[in-house]
Amino acid sequence: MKSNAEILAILAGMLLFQGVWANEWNVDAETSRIGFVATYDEIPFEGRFDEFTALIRFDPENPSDGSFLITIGVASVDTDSPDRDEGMLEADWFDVESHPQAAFTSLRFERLSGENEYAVTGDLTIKGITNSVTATFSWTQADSSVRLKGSADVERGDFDIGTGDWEDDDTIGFDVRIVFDLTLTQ
Amino acid sequence: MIRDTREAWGSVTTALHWLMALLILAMFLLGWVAVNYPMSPTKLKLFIWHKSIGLTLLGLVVVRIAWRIANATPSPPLETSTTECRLARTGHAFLYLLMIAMPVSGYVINSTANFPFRYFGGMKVPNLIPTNELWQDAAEAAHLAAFWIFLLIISIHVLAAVRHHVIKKNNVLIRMLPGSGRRQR
Repeated sequence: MKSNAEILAILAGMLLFQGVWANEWNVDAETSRIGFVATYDEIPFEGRFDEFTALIRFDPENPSDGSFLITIGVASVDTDSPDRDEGMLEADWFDVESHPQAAFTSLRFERLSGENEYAVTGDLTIKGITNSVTATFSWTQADSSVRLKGSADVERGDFDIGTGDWEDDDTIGFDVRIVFDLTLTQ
Repeated sequence: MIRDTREAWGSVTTALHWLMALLILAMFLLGWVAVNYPMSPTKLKLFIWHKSIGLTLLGLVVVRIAWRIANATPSPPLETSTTECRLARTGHAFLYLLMIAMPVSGYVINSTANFPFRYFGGMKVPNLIPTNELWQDAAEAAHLAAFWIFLLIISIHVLAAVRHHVIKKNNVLIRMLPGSGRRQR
């Protein structure tokens, strides 16, 4: 028969285990989107990546313990323009042959002044180049799910996206906004 | 003389004819170069010019058709046979049809390919037809086919005008020259 202390230890362990898992979220692939807004001839256009995985651990009460690990299959880019999508896979752009994946690994979180508003800073790797990027996001609890929605502003040149003839911003602008809108369930 | 009469083309028609002729020729060259240019910002800029001039031509042909309807049409020379008249009418109808088909099919390509486009880098032109690869392929095939037919009919048009001038020695070519209406009055 186990002693009271042993039982307490097991219970505490179970609670702790449950606590860790309670902060881990599953991404609903159907309704979740990761994409970007860029400009072509100064007109914004949207793109999204149909293939991605996101490991999300987050507790809004305790944001500093959060962890985002996002991996994107770059070849799944879809800007609603097959010609443009094809061009984006080339060496001057995403160079998908050499760098099929992009990834984001969170390093730290902070609470912002707005309600349910947070910021996450982490390493974003695209085309084999890693830069520190900060994204702001909102964490909105619905009945049985959470909506994680936010954005980060980056400059395409920092990741060597658009090299050679495309290095100036004559046709494709420098500024790109990365956007994400994830539906999370437990 | 601004308006067309039963005897002569007015200045509006002759100006539109030669302006559009020049722009259409420029479009043939610009389109051909743009299509064959390697993917680069220059290629995209060539296309912006091609699309902008194409849209201008669509506007001009609408004005031209409206002007033609609102005015008298000079009669063919008296010695022209009925068959010749019929051929000329059919040829001209095809020219008007192609002047509409070229920019319209071009617009369908741009819209179904979902390329943002600003007219001469200014006003944004809306893409009214949603992205559709099948439609895009069809519009590209139509645009190319219309180009070859257009080239053929323009060649016949030019040869016919030269024939009128050199062989038949009538005023059909002369009366389309800028200022011919003034000279004839």
